Amino acid sequence: MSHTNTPNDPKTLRPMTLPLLALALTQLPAIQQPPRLRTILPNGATVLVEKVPGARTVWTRLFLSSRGAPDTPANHGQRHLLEHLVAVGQDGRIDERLEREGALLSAQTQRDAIEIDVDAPSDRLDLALNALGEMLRLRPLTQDEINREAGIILQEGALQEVPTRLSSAAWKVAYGDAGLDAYGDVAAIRNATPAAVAALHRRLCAGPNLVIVVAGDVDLDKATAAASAIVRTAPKVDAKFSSRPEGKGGVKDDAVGFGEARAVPVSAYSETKTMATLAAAYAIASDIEGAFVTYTPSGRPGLVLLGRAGENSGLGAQIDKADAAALYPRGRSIVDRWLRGQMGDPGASASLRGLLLAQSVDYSPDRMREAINAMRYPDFAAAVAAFKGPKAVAVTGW
Amino acid sequence: MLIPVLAFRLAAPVVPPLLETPISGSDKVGIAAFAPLPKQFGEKDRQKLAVAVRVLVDGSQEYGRRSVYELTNGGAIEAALLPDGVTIRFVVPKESLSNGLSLMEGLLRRPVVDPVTLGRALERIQRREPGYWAAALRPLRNDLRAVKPDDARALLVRIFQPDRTVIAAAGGFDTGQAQKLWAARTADWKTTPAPRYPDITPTPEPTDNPSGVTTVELRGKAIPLADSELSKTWLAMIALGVGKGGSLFRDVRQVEGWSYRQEAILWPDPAGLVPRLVAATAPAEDQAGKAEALRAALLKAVSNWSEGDRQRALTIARITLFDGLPLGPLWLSNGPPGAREEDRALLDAYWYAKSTKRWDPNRLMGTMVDVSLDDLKAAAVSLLTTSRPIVLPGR
Repeated sequence: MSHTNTPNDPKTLRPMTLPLLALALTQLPAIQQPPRLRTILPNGATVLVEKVPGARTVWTRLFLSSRGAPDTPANHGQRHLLEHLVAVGQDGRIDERLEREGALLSAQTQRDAIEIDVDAPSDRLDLALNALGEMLRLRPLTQDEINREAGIILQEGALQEVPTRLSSAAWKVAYGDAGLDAYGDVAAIRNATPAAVAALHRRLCAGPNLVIVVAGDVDLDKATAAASAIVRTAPKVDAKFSSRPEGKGGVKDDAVGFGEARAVPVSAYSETKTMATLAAAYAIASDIEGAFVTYTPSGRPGLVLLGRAGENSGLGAQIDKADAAALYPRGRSIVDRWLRGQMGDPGASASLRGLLLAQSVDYSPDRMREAINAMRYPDFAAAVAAFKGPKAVAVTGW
Repeated sequence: MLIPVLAFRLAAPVVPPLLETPISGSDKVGIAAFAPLPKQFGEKDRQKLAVAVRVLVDGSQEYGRRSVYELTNGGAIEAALLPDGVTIRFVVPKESLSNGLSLMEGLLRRPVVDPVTLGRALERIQRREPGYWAAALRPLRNDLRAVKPDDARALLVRIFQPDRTVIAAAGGFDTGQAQKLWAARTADWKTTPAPRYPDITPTPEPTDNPSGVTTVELRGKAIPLADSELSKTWLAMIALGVGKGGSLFRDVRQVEGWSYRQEAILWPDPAGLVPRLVAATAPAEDQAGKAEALRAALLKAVSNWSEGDRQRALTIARITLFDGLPLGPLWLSNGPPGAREEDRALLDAYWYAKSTKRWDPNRLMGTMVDVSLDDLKAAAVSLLTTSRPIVLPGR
């Protein structure tokens, strides 16, 4: 096990253990721990523990990165299926066991990773980590179980909200098969076999694909050791994210989504241009009743989407008359507030940090902060213009 | 002499009650109001009120949208028409308690009701703002294309009467502080006469679900909030369908596989809280028998309940009542209330308006722990066997 520090994040620096300094510190009443500790295990798995003094809950997150397991038309949605199958635990009754102890489990599949969360009372880190450990062991599956779960995923599709539907359509326009949604294709899901699901589970549970984040009133070293014990035996393999080409603009006017959206392809989350696009989307949305913005931070090319539900949303016309100069202060303020809100909520912060670490051990929300701070008016104005120009994706649903 | 005295009484100012819940260490104050619907309230008025209520999110005559944004530190006013009344809630920094109460007083007495705000309100309804699940739970249609400002204003005045509206504040302030500020702002608030011939158009029973999903439901009878049996039903509802360890998820979704989302809900109703066991499913042929299938599956599940199920239900009750996890079964506004200050304020206002008693999670929990496994099973069986089966096909 090796402790490492993120070079651009001074908060993660651990105290030096020079003998003289250690001697001097013994005169102090207590050694204060840093707020956060990131550890990379020999097999490539990452553990991040964050101290939240006084918290009554401990938030734990397990990420299974999709590195080396890209969604393709042939397997589209099988990661989602796997999430459903593992999230019930070894005996299918993990929720019942956790809830009896006051802990809750939830899971979701995103393009870059599967995320499994267990929130537990502050003194039950062991319970939460044991539950996450169950996710790394796949029980023997039958084809009947897979078929039944595929049916439930079909039911899930019926309840998809407008932003999700419009986002899927926009990603398809911008990135084609390199931007397949995490939900999946029911036919491809139904084609899954127990052997294929087991193979996918092995790929996703390789050491470098595993990230555990713990946030709570915990001892950093003890929590790191406990979380590491769960992932340290995973095999080390070499795998890379599949490349995603630069996104392109386009139009789709028959999406299933009951509304309208404009989206702008962006590069990595840490780019000033990306944060300027997000700020522009939020600023324009703040002038349009009921508009929504979707963006998932990613190191790969992505999409910032501005949408609105409704039969006659009028979104496009409102975007086209957006005045960048008037919107700039608001855009800065809202995107800044958004990031502060994410980081101020321990559960949301753990999720964001974990999602970024699942993509690269060097990724952190601090890079978003830096990109926001670096944003100037020309960046913002260009971003507003991008929503109006030919590089934007326009999607209309019925 | 009787008539002049009566007239004087009607016109006299009435200070609506403000309930206080100081929360030590909180740096915010949640402010909420609940106004029950009048006993006689028809479908035509309900549709107009659904629009009128949506103008409240635009602020009051003194606090416009920008001022609200600043006052709430980037938050928003949440306003909803429930089956039994209208709710308003928002949160402000604790230093803004006085302005927050002014905003609430303005919303109740001087909302901005004009063609612009009403136009926006109609748009919000058309866009199905609550989302598929919330819309599926309340499959009402609203066919209005326009509402006249005078009609909307009159409806809001009729609902927000000082003798019927309950206001609550929860968060970082001292006892008595909010009440004093509120009394000063509302000292001149007078009741107005009810309409002589109110709309009494009955609300039609829904025949389908315009949200697009089919809902399969078992619906029980309303339980008054002051009913001693409520806590037993509450616990049974948790065991049946709150959390993924409940029977709806464990024994229906994971065994039957025909629904992705299913919940046990205590639904607001003029007569109390209505137990509803709801499963959403994709529209398909031959779904009429699903409600009976749901009943049979749940009855079978209840017969197998063990002490573990009771313990799980008690734990869920504890973390929802005391830690504010928004899991249910109580559903107010657009979902279960959570741990936010404004949620606590809404619970206070709602509970008092419906029962004339303060919201008291300790008392509720205290009676739940005395429910034995046999009592829990009996309550669930009674609920299931007396519930009405309802299947609304998605359109």
